[in-house]
Amino acid sequence: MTVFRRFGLLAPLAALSLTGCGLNSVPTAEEQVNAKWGDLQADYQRRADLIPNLVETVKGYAKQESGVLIAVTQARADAGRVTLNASDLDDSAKVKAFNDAQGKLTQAIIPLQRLQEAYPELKSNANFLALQDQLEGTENRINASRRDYNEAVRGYNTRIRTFPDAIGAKIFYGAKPKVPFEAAAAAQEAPSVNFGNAS
Amino acid sequence: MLDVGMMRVQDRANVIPAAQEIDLARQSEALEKATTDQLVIVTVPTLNGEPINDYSLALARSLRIGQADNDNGVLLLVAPKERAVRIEVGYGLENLLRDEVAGKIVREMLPLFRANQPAQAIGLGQREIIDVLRSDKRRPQYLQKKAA
Repeated sequence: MTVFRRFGLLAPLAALSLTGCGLNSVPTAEEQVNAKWGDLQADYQRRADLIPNLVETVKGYAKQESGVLIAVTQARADAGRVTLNASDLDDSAKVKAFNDAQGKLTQAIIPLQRLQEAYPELKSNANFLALQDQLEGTENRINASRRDYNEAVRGYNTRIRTFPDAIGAKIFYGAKPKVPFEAAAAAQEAPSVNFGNAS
Repeated sequence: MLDVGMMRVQDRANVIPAAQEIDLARQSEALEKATTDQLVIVTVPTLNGEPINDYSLALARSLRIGQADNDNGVLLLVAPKERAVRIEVGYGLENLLRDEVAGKIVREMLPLFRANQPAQAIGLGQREIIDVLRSDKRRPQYLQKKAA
């Protein structure tokens, strides 16, 4: 149950239910949520780190696309201003603000990922291709980490509402339900590699 | 960890000749003996409308590819009907088989897929993945330490 595990499953929290009224199981479930939140946060950070390099690379090839580049840079700056601490994960307004800002960045990136279709020279730029791969990989990791986080939140929320853990959760920890991250419907539209010439 | 006896090559879309399938499986087995990394190749008749990224991650997780402590699994997934290919990498190997390395391998496979030679494309992809995974010279030492 390390946070590094990508292909593994979430540790089954049910195994801890013998500990009774949530003295141990509630903090464990909360740690699980916080760990998954940490993974997700790292993925968002990685994306923010990649974007300036990609924008810089594209600039030289696609000057006509300055609108796209400005929109991406702006969305990145906006997303960077909205921070979310682990202690705010039960605050639905804060979670929503963070998620919305990151969602806007996801949307702003999509035209950037499609630029190579319009500018064939970009396809032969190794630096651009590498950044593109890294960005696509990071988007995939964000989606996977968000699902894992939501899974951990579901486990935690169920636990603090279910007898007998609910007693300990309420009395000792004042536990409040955590807020899952809603995926934007259009996030699915991000392009993925295929070998063309549709079947 | 992938079950012992679990097939390292699962040609569910039936695009790989039987003899090559055995060869691919042997290559993956030799890789695992040398590095403990698990490389599994799967072809599927359809992704059922799911994006290949989601499909491949779910599949890699359900097959439990890689050693549990190291998360050192790699899945090469090919969906001929959707004309899609993906290399899914466990966290333990992400610093070795990085996004841009996997992306380059996929780009080198694409012309063979387009030329309707999926088996050759898969063979090329496997060779390149194995080359990258074997390029980490520290890992035999790591293995010896583990065995000791």
